[in-house]
Amino acid sequence: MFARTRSFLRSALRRSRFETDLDSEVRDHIRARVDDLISRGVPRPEAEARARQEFGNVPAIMEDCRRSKGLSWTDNVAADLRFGLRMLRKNPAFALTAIVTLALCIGANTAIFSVVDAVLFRQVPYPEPDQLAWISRLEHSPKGESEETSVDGETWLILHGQLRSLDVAVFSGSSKGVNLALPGAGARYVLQQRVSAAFFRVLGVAPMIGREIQPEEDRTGGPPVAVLSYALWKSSGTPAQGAKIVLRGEPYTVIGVMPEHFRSTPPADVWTPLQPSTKGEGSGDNYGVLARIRSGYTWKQANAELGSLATPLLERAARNPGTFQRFHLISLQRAQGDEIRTPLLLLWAAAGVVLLIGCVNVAGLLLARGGARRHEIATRLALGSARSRILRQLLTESLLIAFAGGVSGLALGYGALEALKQIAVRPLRLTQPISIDLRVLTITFAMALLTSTLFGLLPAVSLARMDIRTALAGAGRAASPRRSWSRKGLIVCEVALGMVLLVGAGLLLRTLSHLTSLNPGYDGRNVLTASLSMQDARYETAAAINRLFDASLQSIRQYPGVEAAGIALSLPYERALNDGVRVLDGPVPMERNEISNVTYVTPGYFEAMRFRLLRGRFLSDSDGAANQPVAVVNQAFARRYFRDADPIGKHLGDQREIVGVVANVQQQSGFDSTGAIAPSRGVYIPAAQFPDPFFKLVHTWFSPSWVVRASGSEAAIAEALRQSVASVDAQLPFAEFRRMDDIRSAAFSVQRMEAVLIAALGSLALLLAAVGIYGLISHSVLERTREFGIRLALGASSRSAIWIAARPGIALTALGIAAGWALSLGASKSLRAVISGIQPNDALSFAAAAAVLLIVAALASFLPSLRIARVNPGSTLRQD
Amino acid sequence: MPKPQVDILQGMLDMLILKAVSLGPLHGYGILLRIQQISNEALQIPQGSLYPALYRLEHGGWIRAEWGESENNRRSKFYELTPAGRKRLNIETADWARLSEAVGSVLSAQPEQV
Repeated sequence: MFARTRSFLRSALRRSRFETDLDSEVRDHIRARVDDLISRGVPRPEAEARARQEFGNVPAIMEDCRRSKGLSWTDNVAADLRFGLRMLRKNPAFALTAIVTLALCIGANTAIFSVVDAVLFRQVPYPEPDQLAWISRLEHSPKGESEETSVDGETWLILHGQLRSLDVAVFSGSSKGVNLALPGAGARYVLQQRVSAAFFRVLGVAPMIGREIQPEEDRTGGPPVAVLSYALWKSSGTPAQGAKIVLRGEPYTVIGVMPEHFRSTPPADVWTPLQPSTKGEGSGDNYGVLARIRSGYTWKQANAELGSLATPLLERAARNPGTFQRFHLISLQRAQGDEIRTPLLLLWAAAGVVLLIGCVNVAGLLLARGGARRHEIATRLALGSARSRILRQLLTESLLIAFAGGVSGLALGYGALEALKQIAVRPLRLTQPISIDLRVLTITFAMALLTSTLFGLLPAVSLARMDIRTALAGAGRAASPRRSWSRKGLIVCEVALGMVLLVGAGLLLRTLSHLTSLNPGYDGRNVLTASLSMQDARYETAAAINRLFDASLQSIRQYPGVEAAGIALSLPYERALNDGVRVLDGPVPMERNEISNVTYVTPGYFEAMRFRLLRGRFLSDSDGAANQPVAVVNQAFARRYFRDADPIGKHLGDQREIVGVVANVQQQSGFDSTGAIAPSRGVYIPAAQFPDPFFKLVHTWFSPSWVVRASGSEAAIAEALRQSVASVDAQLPFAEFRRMDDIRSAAFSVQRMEAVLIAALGSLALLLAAVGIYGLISHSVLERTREFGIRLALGASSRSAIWIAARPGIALTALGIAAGWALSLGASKSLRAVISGIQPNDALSFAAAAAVLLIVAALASFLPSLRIARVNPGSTLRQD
Repeated sequence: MPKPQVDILQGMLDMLILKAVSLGPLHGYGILLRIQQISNEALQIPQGSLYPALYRLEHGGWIRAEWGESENNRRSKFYELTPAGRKRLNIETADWARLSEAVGSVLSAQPEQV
């Protein structure tokens, strides 16, 4: 066996050597025989002839020798490949169309799948990821079922230390930018995440140096300790254990460093004890609970144990009759990709539709080609070629196309992924590395192989049924009507699928234009913003905070070009503080506080943002700590609690007097139940009148923003703003400077990304459908040249002949549009969550999609039909 | 004067080639000549089937080939027996002897012996 393999490999690898050896050996033999014959007295010419004759059929014998060496199958494959390449070269339009179609579909799918895979399917980067879970609460109410993934301090107490099947830890769901001061170095802005004891143990990653947070450090009043990321530790140059660092103005002791590749979600540079409690932060749903299923337990058992814990929750839920809550495990992987799951899946589905259209296109091409090659194949069969050999030949050609399509698709995919990253990283908040890896590669090539071989087999199937006589008799005339029917069916499918994508693109584009055309309620031009973390031990009193605010604002207002400047706790589109507010003397009596957005602002903020004042006045410097407490409310608030009455002069809790009403500003956008832009009720309170403890609490969640309206260079304004804060306190670095317009456009980034990408995929689908229609019509024009020749000879005008040729393309498109319309009515319902301002059955989007398809189909049908105008009836009729 | 010739079966050809090269390295035409010579011209090898058989035997590892100088100073490919080939030749020789004895005794059987 070994000898044979070696012998085969030697001959196969040194193939040319093998051939010359064989050749010279045969030559040598014949020469020796000639010499022999001559020596026996045969004259040379006769001797040569006899030697050759005795030896026999030289090529056949040489082929026998090759087969003896096991070389014949490599020869066959090489021959198939050569022949396949020749066939493709002979018909470059077919080859190019098929390869480009595959490349486009595979490129788009590769790029999108890399993102989908990284975000939705890739396991979280921790040991035994399938045992990691997130504990959520499922609330069943008469309205339906809702899932809440964060819990409050009380719930954590219930979960903590009671579960046999789960190892649990709790953390604050977001990481925050904070100021870090190192001994002997300046301040810097780092991301801090607060986590409980055992957090790293549950994730399954131990610190590289030192230890993780212990239970005694994780209770209120425990020692302030910190675990650093590898990158922060390296760049800070501090010792790994025992170093003193200052976070938000408070000293912390470093107890450990995480390994280099550890990454938390959301990413963070420093982890500090969460110290969970049931008060303050813990009184609301601000914690996430992480769990690892202990070994020996199953997912099901853990869920069952969690279910048995529901009693205290049931009691609480009893206050809202008809609701019922229970705990529920969701995989960490799913929990992390939850927000962007819908937009990503939509994209993926759209890419899938494009792939489907591509497949249909390639199938159509191969069908047409199978028809054109009927005669050739029948001839080969008649000459004694084996069907299996021809089948192998057809398959080889499909594989060649698949390979070329796959490779160029991959190249396109790389480019598309880079572009996709540019568009998608921010809107989707992608933190994980995304690249085309082995997994994606495998899928890509599987796709290429599947699409082309599957459809490469179509002509092969008809080959199996082929009757040589009729095929030869047909002599390349019109293909059977059945084939042309299946091809027409494919065109209808293509158009219908393309319609679905175009309708989707139309709906998303209309949504985007609706969103951007809405009046935001402020004027963002020439407004620069910058936020900084005030979670700092030196800023725990309203007096200290307001001193900073006043001094820095006074300084920036001096700068040339600055028109107005102010500070607010949160900007439009940012998550705002939710707090209970009660109107004391409104027309609608209120017994309890109700939730509103509450924002502290300094005088100058409304002016800088150019809020529209509807009634009363903006805030001023005279609304100080010692003066009458005042508030400005927005229109939504006024409408909700005062209906048509005038809110000015009325009072909120604490006898806070309403002095002004401003227009609603856009608050938030996103794929949630509140729709793309929710006009929430808003109350604005002067920063000077904000109480101490409230300041401290809100600054653990929010970083206030400085807002400057100024003409002139942005960089100069930014620098001036930096200096005006640094002149008051050099330890407070700004996180980043953002133009208000950018914040607005970022708020619509998911919609914009979806619209752009779905429109791109829709255009691709349109292109493919056009190619399919063009192919069908130009093919049928070629096939029917003779028929058109006769028509023209009989006096038909070339205009009517062109119309007859082009008509099927347009008719099929119309049919496809009708089918696509019905399909889109169903499919667009799945877009309900991402569209706004229009209905899913928006007539304009549907009509536009249909019109675009019709125009493109008309072009694709008439262009090849114009060839008929050049048909010379005489010469056509003289053919065959 | 031509002598009566015998057709050669496929399996026999391999055996004859092995035997021919067992007596010393030979090139293709030499093998042909040697078999004819030893068999007193009784066995005529069809020239077309010689080379496929040689390649088959070489592929199987029973003979090996090397390029060398032939008697009239031409480059020729010489075949010689490998140890595996010698083993196979011995087995086939013994088998053949048994077979031909058996066939011979069948063919020479007299009516009274049955």
